[in-house]
Amino acid sequence: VSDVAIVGVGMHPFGRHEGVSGRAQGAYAARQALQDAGIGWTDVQFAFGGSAAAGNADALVADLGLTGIEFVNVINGCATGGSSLAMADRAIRSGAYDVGMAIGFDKHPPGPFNADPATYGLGDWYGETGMMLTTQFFAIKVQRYLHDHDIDPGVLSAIAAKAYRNGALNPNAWRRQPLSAEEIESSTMVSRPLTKYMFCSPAEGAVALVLCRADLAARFTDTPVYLRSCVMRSRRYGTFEVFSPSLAPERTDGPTAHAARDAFEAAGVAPSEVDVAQIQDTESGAELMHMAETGLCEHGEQPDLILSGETEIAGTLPINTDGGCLANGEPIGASGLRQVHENVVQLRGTAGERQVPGNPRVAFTHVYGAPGISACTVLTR
Amino acid sequence: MTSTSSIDVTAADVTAAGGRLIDAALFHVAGDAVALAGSTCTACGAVTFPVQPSCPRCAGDDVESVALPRNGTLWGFTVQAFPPKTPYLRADERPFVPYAVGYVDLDHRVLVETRIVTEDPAALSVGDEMTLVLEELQRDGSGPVLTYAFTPVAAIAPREAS
Repeated sequence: VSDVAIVGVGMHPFGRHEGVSGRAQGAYAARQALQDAGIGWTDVQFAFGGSAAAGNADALVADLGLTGIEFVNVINGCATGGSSLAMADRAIRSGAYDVGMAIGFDKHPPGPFNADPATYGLGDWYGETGMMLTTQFFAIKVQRYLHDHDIDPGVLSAIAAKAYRNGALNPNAWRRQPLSAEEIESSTMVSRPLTKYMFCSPAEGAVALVLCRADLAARFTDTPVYLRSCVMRSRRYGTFEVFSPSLAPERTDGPTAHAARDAFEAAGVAPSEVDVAQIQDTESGAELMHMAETGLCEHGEQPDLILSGETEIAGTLPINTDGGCLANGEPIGASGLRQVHENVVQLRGTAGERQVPGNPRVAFTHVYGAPGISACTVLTR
Repeated sequence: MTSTSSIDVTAADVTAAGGRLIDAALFHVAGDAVALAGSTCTACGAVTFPVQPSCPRCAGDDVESVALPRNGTLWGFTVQAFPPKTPYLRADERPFVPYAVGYVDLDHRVLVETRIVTEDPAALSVGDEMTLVLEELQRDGSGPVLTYAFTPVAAIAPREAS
């Protein structure tokens, strides 16, 4: 069994890029990552990649070189990036390969995602009656969560304001204009209690990571970041997930809680040791709920942490330092890898204006996607 | 639970309206009584909606179709404030009319996701008593297309009294 290191990262800025295909953005990120690792595509022995709306990821071989490698396409909703990385992790950890790539890119049309009921095993009626919307799920989940934990909804705009503040410091982010909590609160209502600026939007962009056996890392970089664990989980009976026509009467822990717990355990790291975290903020409420579901804090503790500034870049628990999904948008294939990219940059100490102070050593990522899947990583220097 | 028999949905209502149910498989019709159709696992008792051929809890494949309770309590909700794209049947509705959606806890056997018929979504709160109704989603060449929905018992009671 080999440990895994990330020795090269590349990213095409997120946002809207007219005239640039998703695949071209993917090739750009791949070349950047290869350059960062000081290798060529011919050195890459395998790849796992995802793209939901910009063609199959493995079409990239036409751009990067027809080298005959094992290149597997991954489709796992908003958790696609996390799943690609999990599979790349296994390929190295198992001893099958020494050097590989996890890559994701996408280019979604403007407007909300429009999911097809049949893709999720649901009848046409679910879409015809106006319930096939992820936005509704997040709104209902946070509405009930605020009720259960007696949390004031005002914290939702504070979370979004932080995202845009951090995005303004990130040259790769889409939304680089800070917004005040008041502007966020008073923007168009999407699904009560969530307004327009509390939601991320489908977007474009690409991220590539070069991974290798940890004992080979010094060949490629002086600043390896170790992938201590990468765990992906799906839903269990009793959880509340997106696109669920019915739920069990009692709630149990969801895929986020299981993936996070297992990732921390596999890494031998406690949530309290995390110096910087990127967690799924499809909307403000998701960040709020995922903070506790991942074990980074207790349920109900979030408003104190957020409103006292502890989740800011200079706080004790910096969250979504690159602006998260809210400021970057969500190109599905790349989104989970963006989080890992940000943590690698933070652990290397090269995050520039948004660098977390104090030489962060332990970093955590979490993605969540339909129909109830989650992937988490623990990274260390 | 409050009885709301006067607005109970009946097969006769559907027929009288000249309408069709959006998906007959969602409904349990016994005589004149219409309810939502769920499935119960004979091994562990888990209930699902809609009917499915095996149990998501214990993976048993011996399930029975059952009529779900018509009354329940509101578990969680939101308001859909922008027009969904097709296949939403009212995707072309102008002006768009926001609608509430949520989950209703049916006797603590199962929580069902549903549209909520209410003129005042801002008045909804967790724990509200809800009852099953049919809602006209669209009117096509052959008459109204009806789906299930729940409505707050409190909202209909005064109208019944008058």
